[in-house]
Amino acid sequence: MPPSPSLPLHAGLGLKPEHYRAALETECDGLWFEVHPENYMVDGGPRLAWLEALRASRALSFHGVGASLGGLEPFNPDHLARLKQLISRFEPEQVSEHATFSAHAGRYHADLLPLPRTHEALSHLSNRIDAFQSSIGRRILVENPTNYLPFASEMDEPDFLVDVARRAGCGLLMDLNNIWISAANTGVDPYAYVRAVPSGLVGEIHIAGHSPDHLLGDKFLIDSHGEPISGGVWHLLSAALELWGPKPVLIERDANIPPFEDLMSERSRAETLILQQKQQVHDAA
Amino acid sequence: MTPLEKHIALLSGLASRSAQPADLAGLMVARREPGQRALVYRNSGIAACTDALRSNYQRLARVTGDTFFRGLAHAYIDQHPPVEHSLVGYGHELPDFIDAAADRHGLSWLGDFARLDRGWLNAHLAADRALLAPTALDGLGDEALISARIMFHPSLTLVQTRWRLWDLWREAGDENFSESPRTLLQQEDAVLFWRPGHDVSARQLPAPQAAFIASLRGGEVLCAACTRVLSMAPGEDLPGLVASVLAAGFITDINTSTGDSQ
Repeated sequence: MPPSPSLPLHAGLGLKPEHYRAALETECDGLWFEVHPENYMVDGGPRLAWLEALRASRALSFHGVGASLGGLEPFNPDHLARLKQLISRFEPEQVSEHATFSAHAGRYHADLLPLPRTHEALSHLSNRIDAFQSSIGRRILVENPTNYLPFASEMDEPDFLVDVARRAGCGLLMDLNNIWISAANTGVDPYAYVRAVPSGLVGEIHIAGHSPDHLLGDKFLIDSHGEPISGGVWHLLSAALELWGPKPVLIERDANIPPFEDLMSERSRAETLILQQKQQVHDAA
Repeated sequence: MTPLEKHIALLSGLASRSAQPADLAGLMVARREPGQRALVYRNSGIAACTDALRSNYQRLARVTGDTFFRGLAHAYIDQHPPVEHSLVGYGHELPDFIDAAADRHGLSWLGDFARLDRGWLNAHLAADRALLAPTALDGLGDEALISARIMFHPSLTLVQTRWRLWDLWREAGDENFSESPRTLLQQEDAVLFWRPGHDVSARQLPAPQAAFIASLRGGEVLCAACTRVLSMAPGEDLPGLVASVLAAGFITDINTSTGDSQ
């Protein structure tokens, strides 16, 4: 698999249609954008035109949600064909997906459902990622899932993902909000999780907001992407960057979309943490 | 069935309501029943599909209100779960689904209202194609024109309804729309959607114009479309009608009987 270009070592934003104009007009240095390619699997129209306009001046990441990498069925041919068309048209610096499944028995669940962490699943997921990468002709990053339940497993999640990455030749997209939620819901140590992942496999970091369950409160966190990033996740980001060194960091927000400036403020905070790590690397050299 | 296949089948069953949380016990640490927490794997997908339907049928959601729309969406998702791995156009069958349930909700106009939202969405997502420059028609003689087939922009969508819903649909485009008592007429109507640039345009059409557009879209030559209009409305201003279509900004090509394209 040929090496793919990388995202810049800066903080980026998940692009929302509400912010197309502001995103195009901002002059912020280093800012890059990430989109779900599924939202651009259309024949034409304004959303493709906006993305094209942005692409002319910004680095771009495709973060897929529909491939169902861990699924049992062949990859959906229409989804795959449209993804390849989009990759060919926009040439994103990064393509990523999830270590989950989202379709079964002809039905698309519109959710990222977890796999068991077993040797069988490890082999299955590695082979599927390998086939997916061959199909699109790109090395991808694979994101850790959000965990809500303690499924029986044969290994810890970091060990599972690191082994998948090494077997499939992919990188990892570490979603620190997912780790934080998994820690709260299933009792793992988020800092030990981060320490178990080698820096060389990490190609991108996601941070986002979560919400307490409306019945169970803080005992059960939901990956809503609808709130500002919590203090705990910010602290975990500092620790992860300290450990892994500077990485591209994405601010994800998919619900209760605030003004563009609010997201840029969170982005600025992440950028400061990345810059601190760049400075440390520079000083050490 | 291997353990992985069983895991995927059970979790998928939970997400699609054919399995219950207790069925997942065998997948859990110490085979402990996961309880209601497991429903997050059902609710997240339903929420995503509901949001997609709300986005694809924005005015329908405003007119019906959150409680009704949510109930409608959940019933629809149950019967028509997504198959495509993208929710961009999800909800193709919603207007027919609403019609089929008219006995229960009592709003026999609501399916047509959803068709108007769908018409807008189709125009919004349609392929891009360059429009024919107005000057391209210069020099085309009357004889060539009447035997010409007109090619429309892919976004052009004609929605024909059994109710006159244009005013209500237009008002519901306002984000602050609030419903007020009104009488809806059960009377055939037609609305044309197209996308000349980034934004979708919509126009209510009188019946002869709708028949004219429908005829041309069906592949009939201009002369045949005119004949159809005259059979419906003998007094129709045909030259004015033809001129208005040619000037509307949704023609991409005109093929004459000789096979030439303009």
